[in-house]
Amino acid sequence: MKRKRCLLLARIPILLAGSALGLQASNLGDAAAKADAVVIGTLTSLLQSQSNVTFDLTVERVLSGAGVPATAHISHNWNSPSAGAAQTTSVTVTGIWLLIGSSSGSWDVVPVKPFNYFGSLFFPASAPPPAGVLGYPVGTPLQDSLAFETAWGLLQGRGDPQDLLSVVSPGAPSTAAVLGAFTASPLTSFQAIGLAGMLETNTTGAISKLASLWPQLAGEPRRGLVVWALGGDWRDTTPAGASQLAALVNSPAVTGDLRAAAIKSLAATHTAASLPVLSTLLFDGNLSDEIWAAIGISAFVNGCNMQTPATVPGLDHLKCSSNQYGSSDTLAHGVFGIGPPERQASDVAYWQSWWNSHPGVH
Amino acid sequence: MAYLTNNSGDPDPVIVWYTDHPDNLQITPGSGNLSATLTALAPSPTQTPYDIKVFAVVDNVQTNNLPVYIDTPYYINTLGPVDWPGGCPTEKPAEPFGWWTTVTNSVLDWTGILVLSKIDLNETIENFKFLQNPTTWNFGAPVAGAWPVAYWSNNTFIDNLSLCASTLDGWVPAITAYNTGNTTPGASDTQKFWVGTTMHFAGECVAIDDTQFNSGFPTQTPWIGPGPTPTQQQLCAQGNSWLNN
Repeated sequence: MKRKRCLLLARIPILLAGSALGLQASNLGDAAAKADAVVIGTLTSLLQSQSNVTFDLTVERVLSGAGVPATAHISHNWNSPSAGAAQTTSVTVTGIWLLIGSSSGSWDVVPVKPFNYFGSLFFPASAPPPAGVLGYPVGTPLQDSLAFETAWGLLQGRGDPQDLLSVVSPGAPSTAAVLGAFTASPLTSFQAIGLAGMLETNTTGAISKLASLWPQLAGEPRRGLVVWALGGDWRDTTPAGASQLAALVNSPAVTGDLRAAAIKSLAATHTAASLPVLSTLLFDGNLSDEIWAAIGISAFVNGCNMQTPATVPGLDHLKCSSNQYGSSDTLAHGVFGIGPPERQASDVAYWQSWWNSHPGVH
Repeated sequence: MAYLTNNSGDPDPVIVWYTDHPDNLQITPGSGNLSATLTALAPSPTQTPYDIKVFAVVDNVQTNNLPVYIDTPYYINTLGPVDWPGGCPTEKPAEPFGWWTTVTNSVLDWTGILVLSKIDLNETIENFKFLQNPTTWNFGAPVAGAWPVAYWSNNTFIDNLSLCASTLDGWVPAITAYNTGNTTPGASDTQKFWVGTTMHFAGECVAIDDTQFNSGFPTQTPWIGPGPTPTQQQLCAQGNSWLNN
């Protein structure tokens, strides 16, 4: 008799060269943690060469840190072949600067973007302090003051609107205010960034705002960020949330890319609330819709964790626990990806048959 | 790490570990062979979760299979280039003339549905060539960069395709409508994004983008995968193109 022993029980999902970090802190907030001081400052000229850039910074406000003089002399070494020969340029720039002190009395800056060019050394800001919905009191946490200052500077045309996405964090008190200010802008580039940020951070009201703004983003090149954020980041497991996405899927006013993202978001939740719309898509005759429906339904049936950005580094959404509907057969037919074309039809056929033979789950 | 629970009654069993896909998964037995370190070498061969089997033979008796799935970065999803007219004067005040575009990228796994989060990423520029022959292009080739996680925004990283100069005269050709004809001083290259290192291959090539740019505006082709086989993936990650373009 063949003996069975030494059981190897767990399934092991591995992400080759896996993602390193989750999503909690903002990009600029991470960089600010390396600085001795964070200030809003203005320069009026700079001297740059291939190896160094220097300038005097008039400090408008100190967001964090102590001992920063009214005028800080900045010297930053870099390898910037494109900077050319040493030259002085007269230009007025106000930004958020992450400063590091030195024993010599001069200050260095922590770059906030890759590559060695002047714009990589600061985030946009405005000399007058933020006001209105972006105003903030003394004592506001740095994460939030950075968001308010950046949004304020960007709305006054000081930089690329997309920089805002590097300063917003899910759940931070500033997030709803700065994203709301962007979606309220008359400029579609700001609206698109605000919407993308709301979806990335799962901010309440994002889908309603999306439905109202989407038609006017038709010619906006950054609208793709909205599509990415809806499919990749937005997760709402409530019945009301599923209904909102279902409305997007079924709306004739919604473009194909946004519709596909709404389906992807629904399919990632693995909830009973997603089943009414996914089961309709499973039989709609469009193989792309059908395979996404099969992905979502099979994950629900097999009791797999919801897929979110946070589950990706450990592939935790591939960890499934059997529920009342799952079986070894459904697990063997789990659809975890779009798969090669030759397999899609068979995956869809299996789950269409499964759905028809399990009216109890309808 | 995989572990065995020895319930054979033999205090010193003979244990040998196996996998049905040794090109994709390396097994390094631990002390006494009761454990093994599993090292991913290449993605799962069929793009199907848990398509790799690991098992051990203990005193000539085979264990159950341990299903393993190895996912990998594979595609680049690209948005852009998006023109930002204020880019040169804002980002390079000493060179305020020219054009500045941003290209936002995200990395997908090879199922094509997972957007991966921050990861240290390298870039290699290949196949640089001039569209015009002989060319009057005098700006050289673009410089490859790297995007450590500190410079990502959420799960995207932003590349800049720009051409900035201190004066218009003699440096930046007049802005023209983009075309790939051989009468304009343009160039094209292949951008390759990859993870791991060239000295110690521990990662995967992500994807290859074709970029074409000239004095008017850059464009990019849709993403391309790095190749379906482990050999092609490794070539890609080690800085060698397997595409003959």
